[in-house]
Amino acid sequence: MSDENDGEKPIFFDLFCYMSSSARALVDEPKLYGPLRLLETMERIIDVMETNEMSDEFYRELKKKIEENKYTVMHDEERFIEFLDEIVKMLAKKEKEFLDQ
Amino acid sequence: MVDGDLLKVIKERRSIRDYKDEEISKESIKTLLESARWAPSGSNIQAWRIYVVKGDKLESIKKFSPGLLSDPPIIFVMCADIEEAENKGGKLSKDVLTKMDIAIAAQNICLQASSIGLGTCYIGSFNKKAIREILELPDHHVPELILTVGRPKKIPDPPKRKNLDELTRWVE
Repeated sequence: MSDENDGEKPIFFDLFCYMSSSARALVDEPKLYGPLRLLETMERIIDVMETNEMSDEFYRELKKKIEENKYTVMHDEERFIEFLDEIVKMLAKKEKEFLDQ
Repeated sequence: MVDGDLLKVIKERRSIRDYKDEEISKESIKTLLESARWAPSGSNIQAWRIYVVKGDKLESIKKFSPGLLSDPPIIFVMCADIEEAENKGGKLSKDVLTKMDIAIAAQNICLQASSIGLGTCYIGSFNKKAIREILELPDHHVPELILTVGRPKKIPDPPKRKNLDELTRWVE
């Protein structure tokens, strides 16, 4: 990446702000907020992908699934962990598609 | 006020994480701030300072507040004036009581908001140093809590509550 970006914010700058603040906050926060923050980071990366025309239906579905389920962390730990497994499975399936290409 | 009205408001308040893209009137904001003004505080020190933030500064604060996930039109950054707290109330006030006082004032805001159809959410996960930088806070104003405020898109179902027996011990 060039140093001469005309003072424009690099596309991941906001993400760095979020991730660094999360890193610091998680030192003192409940254990399950760690996974929650990682999922939220994924959502934000998908937003960057959308803005830069790198996304597709799979990532939109992924983001929708995260949005719909992430708050179960607040009141239903079992369901939250189940949902984490579902996300991993979804990505593993996609990975297999890449391998089979 | 009819008996039971306040309990109804208390039970109907929710933590809102999805807001409409709608400005909140200055009159409504002022009633929320007025409700905070009337909160009790240790030795009546009233060491809370409320920063009402919207626009670009709000967007910047969001980047350093992992707990602030929604798009509220406005936030209240509730700070402790630790200088006033310590001068008038000593170390106990500065370290403990003022935090409690801020939480009480915040709850007044949340209940008043709920009673006029607005939503709120307590945000405890934010980077104090970043917020101080963005808002150019004086050294003696310490951000303790953020409240998001806006018109809710939807009202979530209430989370499960422990029953009274679990919470209470009767002592005679």
